[in-house]
Amino acid sequence: MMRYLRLSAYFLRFSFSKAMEFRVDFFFRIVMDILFYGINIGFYQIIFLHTSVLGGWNEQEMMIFVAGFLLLDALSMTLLSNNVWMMPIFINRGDLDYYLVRPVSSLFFLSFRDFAANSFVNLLMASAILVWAIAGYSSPVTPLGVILFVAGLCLGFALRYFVRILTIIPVFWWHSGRGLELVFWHMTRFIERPDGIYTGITRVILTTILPFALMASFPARMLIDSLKWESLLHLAVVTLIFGFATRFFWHVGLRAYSSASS
Amino acid sequence: MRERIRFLFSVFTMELRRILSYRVDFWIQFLGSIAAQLGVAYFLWRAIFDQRDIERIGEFSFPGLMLYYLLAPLIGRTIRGAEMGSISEEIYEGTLTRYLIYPVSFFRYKFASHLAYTSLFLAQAGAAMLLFGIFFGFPDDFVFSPTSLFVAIVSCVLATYLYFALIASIESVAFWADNVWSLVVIVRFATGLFGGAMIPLSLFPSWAQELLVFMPFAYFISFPVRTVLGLNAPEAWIRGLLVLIGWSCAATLVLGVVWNRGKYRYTGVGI
Repeated sequence: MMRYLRLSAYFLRFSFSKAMEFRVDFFFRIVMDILFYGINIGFYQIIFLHTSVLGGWNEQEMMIFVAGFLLLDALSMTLLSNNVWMMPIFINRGDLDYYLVRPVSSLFFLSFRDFAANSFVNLLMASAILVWAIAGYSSPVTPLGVILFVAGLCLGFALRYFVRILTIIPVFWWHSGRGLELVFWHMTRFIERPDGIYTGITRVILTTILPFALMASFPARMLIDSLKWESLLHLAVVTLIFGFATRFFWHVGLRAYSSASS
Repeated sequence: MRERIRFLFSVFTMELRRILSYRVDFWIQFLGSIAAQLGVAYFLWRAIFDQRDIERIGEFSFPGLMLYYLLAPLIGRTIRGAEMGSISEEIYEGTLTRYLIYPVSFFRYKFASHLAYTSLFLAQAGAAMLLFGIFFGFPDDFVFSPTSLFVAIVSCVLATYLYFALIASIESVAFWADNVWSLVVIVRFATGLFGGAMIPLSLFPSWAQELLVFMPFAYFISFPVRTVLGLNAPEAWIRGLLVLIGWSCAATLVLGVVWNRGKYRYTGVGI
């Protein structure tokens, strides 16, 4: 465990020094993320000009949900985006060799080696939006609710990571991950809307097999709704199943990996 | 002249063949974007219509809104074309040099390949609209006419050029900066909300609608979609086309200035 923490600290140091070499890009990416946050908040503010309740939530509750998915996005952009982007290329070029011979989990090393320092600034901004959303929430917020919300966001982040890796693993056989990558990005739109709007079989699918509606909505439910424990249990079980599936299929994929220029 | 046109046509057809050689990715992109956009819009607006128990929101019935959400991403993609990366990569990697021996200018070459994407996406948009009409019927909210269709196509052509000139200006910043893809993503985000892809502009507050009419973003999605659907009056056509021409001239001017200054920084071996 200590080895992994020490490794993470090195990743962090290298990533910050690399980001400082490209200062203009560093600034552009901060502006890009600020605009992304503003657009999502603006979108729901326009929606609430036409309704008072959406998916069972009022505007204040919706802002907590929005802050939650922005935080989830910032976490993914900071910790995963650069790494996951390169994974299919490493598999196809045979660069995975360098990671397989190291004395740590290859999936851990590949997933967390490049920390996006510029997105880290946005992680702070997303956290500030969350504080603003909670401050504007008129119902009482309990410490337990906040703890469960944070735990839910961590689970939501893990689930998003597992689903994303599952869309990369077929590259071991197909040699092109573009199609599934596009499917994943199209499906992320379902994360950005509250789960309460989905009904029938679509709701069942989006909260189990393709659990995009779980990732940000269920953490928000833990802060807002009374059914906190049910939501946490549901999210935890689905995350665990996807975690085991990811680990299993990653090892199956590694067995099919034929090294350089595979 | 004829040689140049023949060369540009071969660039156009070569790009078409290249796009269609990755058929799985092409169709996943097409079907995936429609399914996700329509799926999310369906549940979002169904929840609002049911909550308020109403038949219309603004100028849209529920089926009308779904047709809008079908056309918005398709028209948006038609105008965006290949979208981004090619110009800044050529500058960054030093491959811009090879265009010196081509018989046409760099931007004509790039615009011909951009048009290959545009024409394919336009065909997809037409096919999707036809399929919607066959399976669900066209909603009564809209009045389709050959004139509005013609104006919509003209506005698409102008908007395609404007988007190309705007993105080319932004990508030319690569002469000075190491990585400019985030600037292009900024334009894309802005187009998503202020262009009417996420929500029709007629549902914005009136002060915002008055402002957005004079911004370029509305012409990348909302204006051509509303024109196809017959929601724009002839006065709106004229004003819209004039604004589009004005922005196109401005973007061409900016592109010329940025490119002419930037090319003196180009070393030919990558930055």
